[in-house]
Amino acid sequence: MARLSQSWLNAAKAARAFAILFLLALVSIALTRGPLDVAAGWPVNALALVLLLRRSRRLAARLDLLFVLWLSTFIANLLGDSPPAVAALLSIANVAEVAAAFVLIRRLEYRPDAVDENPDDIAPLRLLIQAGIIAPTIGATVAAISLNALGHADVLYSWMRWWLADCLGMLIVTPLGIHVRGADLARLKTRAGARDAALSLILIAVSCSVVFTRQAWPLLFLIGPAVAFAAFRLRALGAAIAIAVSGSALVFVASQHFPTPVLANPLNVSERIMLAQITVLAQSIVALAIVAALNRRDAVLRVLESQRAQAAADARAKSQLLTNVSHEIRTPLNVIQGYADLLLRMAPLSDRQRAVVDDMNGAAQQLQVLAHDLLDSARAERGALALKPSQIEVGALMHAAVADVRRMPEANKASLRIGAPAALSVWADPLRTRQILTNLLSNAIKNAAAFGPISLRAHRRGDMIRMEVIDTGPGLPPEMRGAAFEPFVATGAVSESSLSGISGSVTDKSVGVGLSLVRLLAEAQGGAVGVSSTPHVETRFWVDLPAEAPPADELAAPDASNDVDPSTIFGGDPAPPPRAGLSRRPGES
Amino acid sequence: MDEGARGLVLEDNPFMRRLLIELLREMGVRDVAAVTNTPQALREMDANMFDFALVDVGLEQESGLDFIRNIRLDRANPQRRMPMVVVSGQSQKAVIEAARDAGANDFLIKPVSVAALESRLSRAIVSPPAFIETPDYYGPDRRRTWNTRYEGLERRRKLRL
Repeated sequence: MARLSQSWLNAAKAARAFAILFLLALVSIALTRGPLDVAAGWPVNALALVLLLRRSRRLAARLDLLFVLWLSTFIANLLGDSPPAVAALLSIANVAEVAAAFVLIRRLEYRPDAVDENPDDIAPLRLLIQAGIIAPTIGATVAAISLNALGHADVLYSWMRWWLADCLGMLIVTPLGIHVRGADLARLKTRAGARDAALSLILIAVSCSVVFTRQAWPLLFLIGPAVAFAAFRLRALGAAIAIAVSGSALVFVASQHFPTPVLANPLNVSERIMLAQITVLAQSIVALAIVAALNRRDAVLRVLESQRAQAAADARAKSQLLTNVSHEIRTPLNVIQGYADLLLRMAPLSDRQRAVVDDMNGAAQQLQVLAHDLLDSARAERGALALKPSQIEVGALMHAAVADVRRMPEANKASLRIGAPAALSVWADPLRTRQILTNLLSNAIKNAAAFGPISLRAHRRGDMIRMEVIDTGPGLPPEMRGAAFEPFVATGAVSESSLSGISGSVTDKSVGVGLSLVRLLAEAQGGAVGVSSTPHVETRFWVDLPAEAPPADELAAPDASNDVDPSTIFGGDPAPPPRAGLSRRPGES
Repeated sequence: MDEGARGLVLEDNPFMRRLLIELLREMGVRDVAAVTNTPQALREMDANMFDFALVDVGLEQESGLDFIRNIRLDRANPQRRMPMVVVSGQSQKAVIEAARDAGANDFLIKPVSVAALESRLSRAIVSPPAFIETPDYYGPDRRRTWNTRYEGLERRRKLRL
C-alpha cells in the first residue's frame, strides 16, 4: 500500500515536471524564430538542472527527470515544426548537456549550505563556471554535429548560438535555482533586505533605461555596477535576479530590429543577440566572483568565530578543572593537617617527634598554598575575583604583608625593610594587593633571604604606584626573566652558586603558581608586573597598580565568591583571614 | 567541654569523619554518632537526643545546609534548637552566608584544629543565641552587629527603595 502510494507520488511528480518543462520548451520555441533556431532550449535546460540538483535524491528519480526532459523538449521541437530527426537530436543534446552539468556539480559535492566547513571552498564560482561553460560545450557539440550530419550547414554558427544561450541559462537560472534558500528569502523579508532589494531593482531599472535611451552613447558598462551592488547586498539571489532582469532587457532590445548604438549598430540581429549574451555572461561571471568572495569571507569569519568560541570553552574547561583539582586536593590535605594538629596535642612528644610532625604539617601547608593559589588563578582567569578596590595606604599594606610572611619558618632569619613614602596610596583591592606583596615577599625570602636584607619600596610613576621587592640574591638569569611570572617556573637561579648551596637544597626554590598569581592579580586590577635582576647585586620584582580610581569607573558589584573570615558573618573573635598568611598553623583559628 | 555531651557528626568523607571523631574525643566528647548522609542522621536523631551537631556542607548527594534548614523548620522536631556548626572546605562569602541563613550556629573552615573546634562549639552550647522565628527562618538570631547609628529610613537593604 505504501509502495503503491509512493509510486503514485512519483508519477505525480514526474507529470508535474513534464508539464513545467514542456510548457517552458514550447514557449521558448514559439518565441524564437524558425524551426532550426537551436538557441531555444536554454531556459528548459537550466530549469531541469535546478530540479535535478534540488529535488532528486535517488538515481531512479534523476533518470526519470532526464527522460521527462527528453520527452518534453522532443515534443516541443516537433510542435515547433522541426523535422522528427532534428527534434530527436536536439532533445538528446539537451539531455546530454543537463546530465553533464549535473555530474560536474555533483562531482564537487556542492551543497550551498556547507561552505562553512571548508573556508577555501569558492564553490559557487568554480562550480557554476565549470557547469555553465563545459556542459553547454557538450550540448552544443552534439547539436551542431547532428545538425550538420542532417545537412544543415554552418557548424560553427549553430554551435556558438547553442553554447552562448545555454551558458547564459546555466549562469543565470541555475544560481538562482540553487541559491534560493529559506535564509535568502527570509533576508528579503527583513527591513534591510527589502530595502536592498528595492534599491537593487531601482539601480538596474535606472541604468537600463539610461543605457537604452541614450542612443548616441554606448553606455552599456553602466549596468555592471548595478549588478555588482545587487550581488554585494543580496548575494547569489541578488546577482541572479539582477542579471536575469538586465539580461532579459538587453537580449530583448538586441532582438528588436530598431538600431541600438549600444549594441553595435551595423551587426545583424543574430550577432547583436550574441553580443548581448556575451555581455550578460561577462557580468554574470563578475557577479558570481563577488558572491564567491563574500561567501568565502563569511565562511572564514564563521570558522574564526567557532574557533574563538572553542578557545573560550577550552579556557573555561581548564579553569573548571583547576578548581575541581584544587578542591579535591584540599579535602585529604585538611585531614592530614587536622591529624598533625591533633598529634601535637595528644601526647607529650619528644623534640624530634615534634619536628617530624611540624615538617609534615609544613609540607601539607605548602600544598594548601599551592591549591589555594591555583584556585585563585582559576578565579582570576575567568574574571571571577570579585575585586573590591578602595584607596589603600601603601605603608600599611606593606606592614601587613610583612606580618603575613613573618609566620613563614624561613622568615626567621630574614631581614625585611620597608621604605614607602608616607601618604602614598593605591586604588586596589586590599586583600588581593596584600596577597600580591605577600607572594612577592615569600618568593624573595625563599630565594634570597640568606644573601642579605630584603627591601620593600614604593614610589609613584605617572598614574601608577610601583611597589618593589628588592633582594641581593642570585637573581634570575636573563633567559628566565620572561618566564618568571608563568606558573610552575623555578624563579631561583639554578646556577653554580646556588647549587653549591648557601641556602640549602635546590628544591627550596619557589616552584609554583605564586608569581603567576601575582601577575593575574595585578592585571585584574589594571596593573602590571615585571622583574629586573643583576645577580648578587640587586633583583627587583615590581608591581604597578593604579594610584587613583579610574574616572567614571564602572565598579562591578562585589559578588559573594570571595573567601572571607566566617567571623565577619557569624561574629566571634576575628580570626586571621583564612589565607592571608602563608603559613597559618593549625591551632590558630 | 562537658564530658557527658553527645555529638552528631554528619560527614561523608571517611577520613574527615574519623578525624572529627578524634578531635571531639580529644576535647573529651566520647559519645559521638557519626553518619554519612541525611537519612542516617535523621534516624539517629529519632533515637537519641544530641547536644550538638557538626555538619559538612558538601555531602555527596545533598547539602548539609538543607539538613540544617529542615531540622530548624520542622516544628515537630524536639531537637530543632540543637546547636549545629557547619564544617566546610570552602570559605566563600556566599557559602558562609548560606550557612547562616540555613540556621547554623557557626562555621568552621577546614583544616579544623582542636582549638577552633573547642571555641566554636563551646560558644554555641554554653552561650546559645536567642532563637528567631519568621515565616521563612527559624534559628539563631543572625544579627551580629548592632549598628544603631544608621540614619536612613529603612536599615534593611532589602526594604530600602
